[in-house]
Amino acid sequence: MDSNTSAPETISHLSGFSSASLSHDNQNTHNFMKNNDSVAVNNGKTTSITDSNGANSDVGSEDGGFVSGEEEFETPSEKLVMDEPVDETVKKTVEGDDSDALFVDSPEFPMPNSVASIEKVSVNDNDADNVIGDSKIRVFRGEESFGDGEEGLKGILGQVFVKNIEIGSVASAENDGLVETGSREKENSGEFVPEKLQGVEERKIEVFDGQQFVETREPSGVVDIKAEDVEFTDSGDSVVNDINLDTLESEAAVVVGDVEEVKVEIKGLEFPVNGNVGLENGFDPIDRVVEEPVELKPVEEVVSNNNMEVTEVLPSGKKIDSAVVAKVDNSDTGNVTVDKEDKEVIEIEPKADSEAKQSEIEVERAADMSEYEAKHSENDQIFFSVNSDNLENGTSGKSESPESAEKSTISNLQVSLEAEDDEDHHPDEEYEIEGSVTDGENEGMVFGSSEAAKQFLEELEQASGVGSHSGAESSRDNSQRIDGQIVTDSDEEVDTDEEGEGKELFDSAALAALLKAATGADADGGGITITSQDGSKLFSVERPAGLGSSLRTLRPAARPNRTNLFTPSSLTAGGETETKNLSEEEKKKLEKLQQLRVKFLRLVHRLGHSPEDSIAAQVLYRLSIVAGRQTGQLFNLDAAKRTALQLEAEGKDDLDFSLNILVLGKTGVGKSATINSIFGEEKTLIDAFEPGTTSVKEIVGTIDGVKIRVIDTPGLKSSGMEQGANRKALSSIKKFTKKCSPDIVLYVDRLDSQTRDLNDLPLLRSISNALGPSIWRSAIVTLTHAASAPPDGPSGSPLSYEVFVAQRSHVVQQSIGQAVGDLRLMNPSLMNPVSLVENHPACRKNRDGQKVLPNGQTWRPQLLLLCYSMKILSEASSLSKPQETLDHRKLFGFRVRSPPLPYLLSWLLQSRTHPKLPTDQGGDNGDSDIDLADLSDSDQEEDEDEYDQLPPFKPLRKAQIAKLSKEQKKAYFEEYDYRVKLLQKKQWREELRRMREMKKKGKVAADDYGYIGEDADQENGSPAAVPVPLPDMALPPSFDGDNPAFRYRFLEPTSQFLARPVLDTHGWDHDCGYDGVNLEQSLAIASRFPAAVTVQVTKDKKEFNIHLDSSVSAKHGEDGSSMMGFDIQNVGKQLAYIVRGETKFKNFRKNKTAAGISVTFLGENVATGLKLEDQIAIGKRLMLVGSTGTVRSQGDSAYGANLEVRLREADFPIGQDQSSLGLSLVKWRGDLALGANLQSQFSVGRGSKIAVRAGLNNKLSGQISVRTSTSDQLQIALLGIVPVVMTIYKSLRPGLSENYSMY
Amino acid sequence: MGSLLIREWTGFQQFPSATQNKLIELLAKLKQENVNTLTILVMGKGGVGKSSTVNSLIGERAVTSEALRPVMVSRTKGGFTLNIIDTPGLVEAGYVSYQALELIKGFLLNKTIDVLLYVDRLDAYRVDDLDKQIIKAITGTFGKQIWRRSLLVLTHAQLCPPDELNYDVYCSKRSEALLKTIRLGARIRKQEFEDFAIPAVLVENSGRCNKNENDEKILPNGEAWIPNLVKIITDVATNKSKAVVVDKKLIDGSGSDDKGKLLIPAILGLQWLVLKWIERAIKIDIAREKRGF
Repeated sequence: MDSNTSAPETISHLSGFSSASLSHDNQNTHNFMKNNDSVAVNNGKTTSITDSNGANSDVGSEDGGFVSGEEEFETPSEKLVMDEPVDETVKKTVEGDDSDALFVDSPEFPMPNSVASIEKVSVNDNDADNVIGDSKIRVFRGEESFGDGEEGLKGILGQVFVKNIEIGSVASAENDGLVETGSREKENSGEFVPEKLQGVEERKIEVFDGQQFVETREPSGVVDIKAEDVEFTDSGDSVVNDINLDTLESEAAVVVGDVEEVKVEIKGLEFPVNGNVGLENGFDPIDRVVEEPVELKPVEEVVSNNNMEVTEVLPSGKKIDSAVVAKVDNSDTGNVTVDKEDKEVIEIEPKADSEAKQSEIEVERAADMSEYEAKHSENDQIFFSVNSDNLENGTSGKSESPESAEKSTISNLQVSLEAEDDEDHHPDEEYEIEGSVTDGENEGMVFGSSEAAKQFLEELEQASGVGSHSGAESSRDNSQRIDGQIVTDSDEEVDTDEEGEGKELFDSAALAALLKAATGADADGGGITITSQDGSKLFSVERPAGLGSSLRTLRPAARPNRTNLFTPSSLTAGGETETKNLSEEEKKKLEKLQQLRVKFLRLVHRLGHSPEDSIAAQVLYRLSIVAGRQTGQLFNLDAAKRTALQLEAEGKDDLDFSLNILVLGKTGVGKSATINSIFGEEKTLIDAFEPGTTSVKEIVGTIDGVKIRVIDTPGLKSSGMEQGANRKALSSIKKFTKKCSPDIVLYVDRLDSQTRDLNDLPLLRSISNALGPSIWRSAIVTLTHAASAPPDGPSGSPLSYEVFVAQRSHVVQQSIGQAVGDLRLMNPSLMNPVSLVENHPACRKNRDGQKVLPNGQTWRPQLLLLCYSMKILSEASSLSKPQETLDHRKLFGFRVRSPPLPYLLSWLLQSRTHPKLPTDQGGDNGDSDIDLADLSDSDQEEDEDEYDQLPPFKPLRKAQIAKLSKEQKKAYFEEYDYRVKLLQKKQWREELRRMREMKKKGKVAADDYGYIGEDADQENGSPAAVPVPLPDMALPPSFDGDNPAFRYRFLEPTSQFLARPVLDTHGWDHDCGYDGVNLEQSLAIASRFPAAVTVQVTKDKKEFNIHLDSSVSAKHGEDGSSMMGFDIQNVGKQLAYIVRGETKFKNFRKNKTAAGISVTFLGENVATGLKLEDQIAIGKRLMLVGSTGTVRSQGDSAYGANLEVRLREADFPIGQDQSSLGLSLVKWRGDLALGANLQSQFSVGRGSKIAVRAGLNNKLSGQISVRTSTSDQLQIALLGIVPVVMTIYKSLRPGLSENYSMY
Repeated sequence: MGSLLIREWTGFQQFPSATQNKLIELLAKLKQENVNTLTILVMGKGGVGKSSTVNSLIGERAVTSEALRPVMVSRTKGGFTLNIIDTPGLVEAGYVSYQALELIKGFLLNKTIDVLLYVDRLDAYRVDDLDKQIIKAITGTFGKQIWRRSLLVLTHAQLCPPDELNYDVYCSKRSEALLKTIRLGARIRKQEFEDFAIPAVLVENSGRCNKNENDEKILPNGEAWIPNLVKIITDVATNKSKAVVVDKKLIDGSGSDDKGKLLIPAILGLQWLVLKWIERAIKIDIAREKRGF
């Protein structure tokens, strides 16, 4: 190590700005920072605890290192910090200066080679080597975080974070190591450092594997400068064992957060013991960091850094989350650590458990720090390497440490590259969710620790043991860690990771698919993780609403957090109440879930798998997600495990579980053989050359107490020409599946067929068409002949088995995705899970007689497990569906899901006609007023004259027309049309006149109504008074039950009710064209207030829809009327009740203005709306309608405006030509939607009419529809024949067309 | 066209000496028959091992399996030229890929095909309609006589038959099934087909193929397959039937169905008659109506 500071205790800058020099006792790992709190520690002399035990002893002087780290980002602040430390401890101060210089160097360190950086570190070690290493880290943070005075702390944190982010943990580990080395140098300059470095490196590696872990560690390292010292010591221990090293790193990070004290504690307890602990510790440090900032100004900076880390974490996934958690814990632990070393260690463990919870916190922070996220990726790898180098330099271990660092980086890269990413994201999401739940717990723990180290320890123990459940649930990794306990965790992780790579191809895809299958909607939740960058939105949404109260208090300001931390009661209490608050319904659901879980665990047990198996763990995790945050002690995983084991031990055969499996696939791929293999006996005949199965067969058997019913199907043909046969087979399969619907579909294909020519597309399409695309949701791609040797790759050497399988699976999955046409299926994370099968009797077997694949898997239990998992998950998701929204609300703090404001807005903005008294009804309802006014006066007389003045006209007979010449004919028709038009005009005018008279009379006759009531209409003889029944449809000469005219004939013409069937032309059932009824009535209430009610009820097998419109209006003189309305309609799955009121008045002759309000009750939401509408008639033909309005619900508003121009033919009611151009604009949640709509209908010539509709919005999507109806242009109809003929042709020559369409 | 460079058959040296000796013997035999050039066309579905078979025959990795168009590999040895034409898979999305067929036809223009290798897998268990379609397409392109110059190559021959069948029994069943398909697809009369029985050859291209003491790749039945394959190729090449010369006429004439050509004028005439008849009927009808009116 560095020769540096003679004094055993070097001042470490860890604690941030203020001098956080940690003095570490080289001799003992448990040395403490004197100052528990960051301030104290910083100031001085924090003793870095180093386990200077033999090989392990690498407890560096962390502080120096950290300080240097700060430089890049927040050089000034760091420098300050450094300076402070320097002052305090001579050496340290010196280091600080050096460190600054070093820091400068450290930026350089980011170089890919970790070794180089290490060297620098070593140089710094004496003075500020460590610092240098740190500086890199800091740089990252600095960028991300803030430039404030906090920088110093941030810088430190930043380093850690950076590491975390990228691959995260490795970098942090490095940082820690650096820091430690620095401290160690002071204390024990050389020896410890190297060891620590190694440890760091190892940790890094672990981090890579565990991705999450790494990240957490890093942040913590940054946070706890002092802690780093402790960590170093730990790392020293860990150095001895790779595993240990990992732990150490994480711990180190934690220590950093805690500052010196924490570190010391860690050393004492953890080093030798657990790598896992180290990881957990890493999380803790993060927490600590947060706290520290609170305490000290520098601490605040740190906090910000933490946040940044959090954001980073989010992108990276689980790791990030864990890092956040760690931070929280750390702050608490930091306090604890001051008290006792042991306590710190304990804390670390609990933290690990609470990782998920913390992750939530992280999320919040992430929201704050979302900006930083982008930075993460860049910084991560480089920083890591640098750090590792530094660590190595610090001590003898230098050479080794670089290597390890490199490794770690490599591993990180791999991890990031691998498909695991998807999984990680999911876990992240989960974490977040859970995190919120668990936050209370974590915090509680933290508080406890701060108060009493013992409490923390206890908690930690619980967490590690029982408490771990949350962690386990949150992610496989977590679960593994938890289960493994801290000590073993690191090892397990590494192992699992390695395995993961091997199996990954299958598992990740399979799991992802499982997840998708189980919780399609959850993906959105996952979005949070994904949104690390967009995260700000999500977070912002969440924060206000939702996280646990405790969290919220923590986040806003560091100081409040602190206080919270110190008040243990609040947190713990919060957690408990949570469980108590469960409603009956929720409890029921939880019970059911728990039953599912027990069932699943029993199944897993029977298959001889462990719940830690990746698939099983994922399922359990998923179940826990479904359960939501309220998993009390009663419903946790461990309880389920106990119950399951107990039940299994009793040997009860009460497992209520059955499975329906549909087996589909090409002929000759081994469907029947697979079934035989599954059952382990000859259940169905197989033949190598002839199709063994010629009809759909049901095969029932019992495996491990599970009743399995398999539907074996005849093989399908892949040839495009034979899809007809396939369709037949599939329709019989469909009949069969109607009887017992399959839980699982096995799509069987051969692993060893290598075609890339999309051979199965027709077949897959047939399946999708016949059984519906949803069949693929529960499908498992089953690849038989799995023991066949991989073909030679492009290089000439055989592919590895994994690559082979992955390629083949990908091809099949893609084909399925293509056949389904569902792009989601093309998403790798949503693809069907793949399982491998080998039915050959000569297949290699293991000792238990299970067939083993070349990759060492025993496929049968795997396949069954996959089946069980999918069924369990689908059951779970069905269980949770109704509550999903609730859960989300609680978890994410979403308010009650906000109503679809834009929809309500458009509803509101619709201009409505006010119901009128029956007598008022003219030929046209709504705008008749205007028409009356417009048409009434002037033109009328002339026009009328015009018609009367025309010379008499005698229509010709057909025979006569036939004799006319062409020109004569044309002239005749023109004249004829003209006269018809004039006649119509005349009639229309007469009607208007009549109406006007009636109106005048109406005032007089109002009394009549009063006396005579509704019959008045009839007496008045007004044509509109009696509702005219629908004209009878022309009936075919003979009765035909299938003819709609007979079926839906309207037989009640005189009733006031107008009842009609709702015909649905798009009904999915051909023989039943209607599934609803429409009722209309208009009436006059108290003979004065016209009212109209329309109810439409439709119900099909899936949903029930009701739509009720009712309105009452009152007239205020000639120029105004008010309307009250009440509507009921379905919005999504809820019923919306809308009360609206509107007043319309005519303020000028040509202008009508209306204002209205509406109140909508939708579920628990109330949305209020306001609108303003204006109609201006410009001339007779042009009408301008503008309306604007807003709808507001719970602080969320949508604004909208409509502008419509209507142009119609001069003689409107007679000529039907009209055009309208509408513009609409809706703004909601910062999203602006702009739409334009053009509608025009006009007639062409005598017998044709064309309606054109075009729409376009600002998302550049639009539609155009042209409708033409004609009675004399037959050739237009021929246009429609072209596509029909094309279709027929295509269906006749499918081969050709499809062939060419491929290119 | 296809004036690829003809290279020395260096891959020949890669064969084990035992194989080399046998091959030299066979080549000498060909020379005796005055055959100095041998052009082999390799066809079959995608992914069955056409390219691998070509590579095995050449003794080097001359073609890759991703080829989307035909590739000819030419090697000479001692005045003897071996041309092997590898083709893309004939199946696309469940249908015979006529586009691939067109490519192949264009490529083969003005070439003489001495031998056709129709490749399929030994370890597939079913023969389906698609196989028949492919055979049909090949027959349509080159004529029935191509099958007199062809042999059936079954790849992936290193397998352990399912159903505890004997290996030889399995192989013969599989080749029988395929040959039957060829017969049906090519519409060759049974009798005729039996006359020039298409030989079936087993092939195992994998690097994992077992080897005998001479380092020759052998089949599960102990036979070294490369010499066997070449031997049968030479047999086919020297049988009495005519090699297929791909010329413009063959290509243009193929694919389209000439059978009904002569009927076209007749049908046209018939249509014209029918139309006339209908017109007359209408006129009569109109006239009658006028009278009634």
